[in-house]
Amino acid sequence: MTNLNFIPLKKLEIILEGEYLQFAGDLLDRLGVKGYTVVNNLSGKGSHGFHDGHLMFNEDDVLIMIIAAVPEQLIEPILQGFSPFYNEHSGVVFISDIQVTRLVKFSD
Amino acid sequence: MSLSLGKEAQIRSMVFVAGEPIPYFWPMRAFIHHNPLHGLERMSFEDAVAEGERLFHGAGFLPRATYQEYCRLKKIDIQALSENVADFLEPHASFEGIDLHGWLMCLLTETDLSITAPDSLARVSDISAALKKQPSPEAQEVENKNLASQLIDSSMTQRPLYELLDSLFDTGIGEELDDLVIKSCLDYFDEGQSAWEMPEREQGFFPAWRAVARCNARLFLRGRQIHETLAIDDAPEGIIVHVMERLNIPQDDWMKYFRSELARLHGWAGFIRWRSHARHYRQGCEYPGDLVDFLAIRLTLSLALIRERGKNGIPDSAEKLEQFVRQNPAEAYLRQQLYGKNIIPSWAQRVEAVILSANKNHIEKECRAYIEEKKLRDTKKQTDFLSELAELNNSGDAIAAISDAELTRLLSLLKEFEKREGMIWLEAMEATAINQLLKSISSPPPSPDGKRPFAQALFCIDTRSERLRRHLENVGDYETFGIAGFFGVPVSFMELGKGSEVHLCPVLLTPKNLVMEMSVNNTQNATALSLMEKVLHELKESVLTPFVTVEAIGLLFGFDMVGKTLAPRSYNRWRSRLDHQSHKANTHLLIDKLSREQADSIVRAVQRAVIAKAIENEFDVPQEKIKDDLVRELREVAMKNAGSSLLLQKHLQLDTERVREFIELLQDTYRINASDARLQMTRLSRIGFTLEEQVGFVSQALSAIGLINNFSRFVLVVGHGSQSENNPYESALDCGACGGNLGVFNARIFSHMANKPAVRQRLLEQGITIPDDAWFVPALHNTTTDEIVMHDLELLPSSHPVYFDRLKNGLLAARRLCTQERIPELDFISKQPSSVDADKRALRNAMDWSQVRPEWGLSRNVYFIIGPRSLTETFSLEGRAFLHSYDYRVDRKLRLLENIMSGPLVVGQWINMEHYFSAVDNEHYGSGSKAYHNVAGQFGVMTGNLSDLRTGLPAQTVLANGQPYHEPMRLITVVEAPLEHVLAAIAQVLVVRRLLNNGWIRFLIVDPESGKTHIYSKNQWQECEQPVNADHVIFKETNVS
Repeated sequence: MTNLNFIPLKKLEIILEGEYLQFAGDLLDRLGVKGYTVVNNLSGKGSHGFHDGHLMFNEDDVLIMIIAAVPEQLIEPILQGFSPFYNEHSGVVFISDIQVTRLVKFSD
Repeated sequence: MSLSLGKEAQIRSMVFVAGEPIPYFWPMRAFIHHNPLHGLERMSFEDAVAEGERLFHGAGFLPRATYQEYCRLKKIDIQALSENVADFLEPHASFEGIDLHGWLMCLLTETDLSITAPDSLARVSDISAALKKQPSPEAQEVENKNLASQLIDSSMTQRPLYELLDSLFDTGIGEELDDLVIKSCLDYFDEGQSAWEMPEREQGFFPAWRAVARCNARLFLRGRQIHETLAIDDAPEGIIVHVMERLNIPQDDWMKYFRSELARLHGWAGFIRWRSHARHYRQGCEYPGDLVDFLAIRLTLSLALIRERGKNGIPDSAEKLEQFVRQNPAEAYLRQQLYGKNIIPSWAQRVEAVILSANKNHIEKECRAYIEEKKLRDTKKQTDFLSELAELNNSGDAIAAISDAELTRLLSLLKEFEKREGMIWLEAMEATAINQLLKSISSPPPSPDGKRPFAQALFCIDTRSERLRRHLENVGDYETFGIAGFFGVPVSFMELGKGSEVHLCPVLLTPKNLVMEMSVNNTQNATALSLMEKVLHELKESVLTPFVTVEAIGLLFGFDMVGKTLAPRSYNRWRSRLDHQSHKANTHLLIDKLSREQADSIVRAVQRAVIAKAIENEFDVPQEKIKDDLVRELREVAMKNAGSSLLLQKHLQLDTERVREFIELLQDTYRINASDARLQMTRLSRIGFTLEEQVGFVSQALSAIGLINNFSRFVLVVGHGSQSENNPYESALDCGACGGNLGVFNARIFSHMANKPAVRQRLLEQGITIPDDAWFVPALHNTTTDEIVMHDLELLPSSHPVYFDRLKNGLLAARRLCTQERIPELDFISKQPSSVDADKRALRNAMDWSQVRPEWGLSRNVYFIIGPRSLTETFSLEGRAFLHSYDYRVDRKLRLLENIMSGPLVVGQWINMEHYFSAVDNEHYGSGSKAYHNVAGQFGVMTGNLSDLRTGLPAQTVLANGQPYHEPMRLITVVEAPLEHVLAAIAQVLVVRRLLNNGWIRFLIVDPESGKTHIYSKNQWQECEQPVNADHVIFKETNVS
């Protein structure tokens, strides 16, 4: 257990409508984020009312969450990149502090 | 100077959001009907239309004269119109002595007057005086400064800078810029039309363009500006920021600026937008290009053009423009009037002369005089409007006596009314159509299962099926059903001879399964064939053909490249052998899943065949000299990436170096390596459907239409397609539910599944009883000739052929009657032709390459009816309805209705909206006349020599003799099911809820259990009172949650 090295990183939880997954993924790739996880079929309540998580004919009508762990210096560029998007679309971004052990997976 | 990472991302994000209102443009090889305002569907219909007018300059409603004509033809019920006008007036207080309702009705139905004039200089006091026949009050100096700055401010954020310059200085930048950009797009995105390809396309749109721009002499003549700009940054984002800053556009306005830039060539922007998001589009992957590239190119060129004009003293940035307007308000105003095309015609010459004189005093004097004149004219116009209207309504006295305050109120009410005029007409037209439908629709009690029909047929919901179904039902004991033309089976299809997949399903879906078509006859060489035959027992046909040229190298790795390198002669020969006609030869569809062993064997066999071909190609060794063990050894060496081929050395007398080279060649170009083999296995595993999937799809489809028992001997599964020559819009007439392709493949796949005993066994457990002698027969309905051609007849069980003649005769009779009904509308002949004559005309339309209108297609669509056929079978819908069969009694969980609404209904809405906007404004939302179309790049059309990619439907599809043939109305959806049932289903489908709440579709619910009909109107559900034999249906508010 003493061999584990804990390195602090920041975690982003980006919640938006499923149809924008490609856009968000592309933006994260260009910003140098090494990888991310997608959680599907979310439901929730926001300023636009309740959004149910019913997966229907296609995957575009639901909310998704993208989880990414990034070094601190990427936080501002990422938020700057997403701000025009969130001006016109519903969703939120949460930033929290986390720790990881394998830094190579998240940063150069 | 490079942008920071965050700034680059921000620009990219801004461009993405700016481009959202621009609708996708799919390549026309598979034309997709869609709502041109799809990106604005989050707004209400009315708001979206207004925004569309601002962005795309497209009108959202027909001109008043057309609606008046509809009134005369009784397509609009005056009573309905009157009610709508009354509704409009409700929140407004009345005017003394003026029957406002009468005024407005008169305005709508008897006049072509209009009061709306955004840049009018008339004031209420002037108008009031004129009405009273008194001289106007003291003329006040109208502040030029205010006028000019007013119009600049309002336009600054709405339009790109050069548009303002054009409207003030007649610089023609906009047109020139568009030409240059279009040329750049044509060069880059070309898909095989040009003989000479643009170099370095693999670098991406912007890099490739930049490389060419640096050498482009024409651009060089524009001055060094382009070089300067391009030297700033390598990335397009940096260029965008640079240009925007040079033009002094405030950063807060950037997104709006981007949006109006992109909207100028919305055809190209829509295509690029679609292309950058289409992951499976081969050319998109090879030659990437997105809106950021497009915008960077546009801005670079616009800056260069603006700077060039700037040399003549014309302002070349936003700041300088504002300065000019502030310092020369009179000149700015006159210029805007003249070059913005708003000027009083008789004054044009003198205004132009004084502007060119450049004498400030003269200009100011002239401006004052002009404004005086304009004020007089504007006042006269408005006064005349009021007087005439008053005259027609006998309120001449009242209008003369009106006070200034009341006059102001009246004028603003009239202007507001004219803004709402389009919606009022539209709603009245829809109300009329709804009444017509409700009069005829009947909801009889469900009859007990009668005798077995001779044959049943599943048709696509397409409006053209309605006619054929009606006639077929009349000629004999046939029962028909409606279902989306892909029969609920989304599939990716690889046709024999083609290298790429086609998605046979609505564009809303992505299919997960792949089906391949294989030739029954042997077409490849013997050695490879014998290998295959040894390995595969079950598949009797030659399966090698599609695999060698496609699967061997992997689907995404470029079919043409392989063919050309691998076996150029035989490839070309084989390709030319397979044109459309030879398709009639028997083919086999690979629908069931391959077992792992089968897949493995296929990969191995294909690899061996490829290696043999490679040896032949590289060393010119004839096939018969290539030994099995040589091939085997080479394969192993290439796969394991170890060792060397001794046999090769020995047989061909080669040194180790050459052998190694060859093996590397096998691994790289011919893709004989372990990871490619793994990929191919994965690809092969995509082929076909598991038994569970097959049962699922068939069960879903049959339940959705309510056909779960009482199957007849023949169950026709009829897909549809169109036939025409020399028609770039050909696929617009094909099946929208199949993504703009023919529906016959889905029909064959569905029939194969439904005929399988294993599937039927499992369906029995679910309560769907298909008797042993029921047979599903796939067929294709040719909508141009109404011919129904049946396929896979060699699979018919032996008991069936004896009934076959009766079936064929029935179909032939239905076809003749159908064309007889349809042709007079198409060819505009007044006397009904004989059925044989009609038939001949229809056939001719299909083959005549000068025919601009082979069939009317989906024009005049208006209804979407979800319910049993008994609801509509007693009357003719004139081919105007989408009919989807549905039985609520088998849909306890609401899943089937939800599926129908979130899929086929949305496709129907897209088709309806496409026709609506193309009919209402064919120049802006449609694509104009076909006669001027030229194919661009193999994926779109332009008007004339060079223009934006034309979107929407051509004039010939929706207009007849310049007037709308398609009657533009929003889709009127009708569902037959209990009220609560439907409301619960709608609550679960977000997209339908949005369409409904924002007024993109109309919705009616016919409740068979309570006998009541409900309509969604004015944002709530209302109940219809339906007196029998009434011409007019009354709506009553109900409390429905």
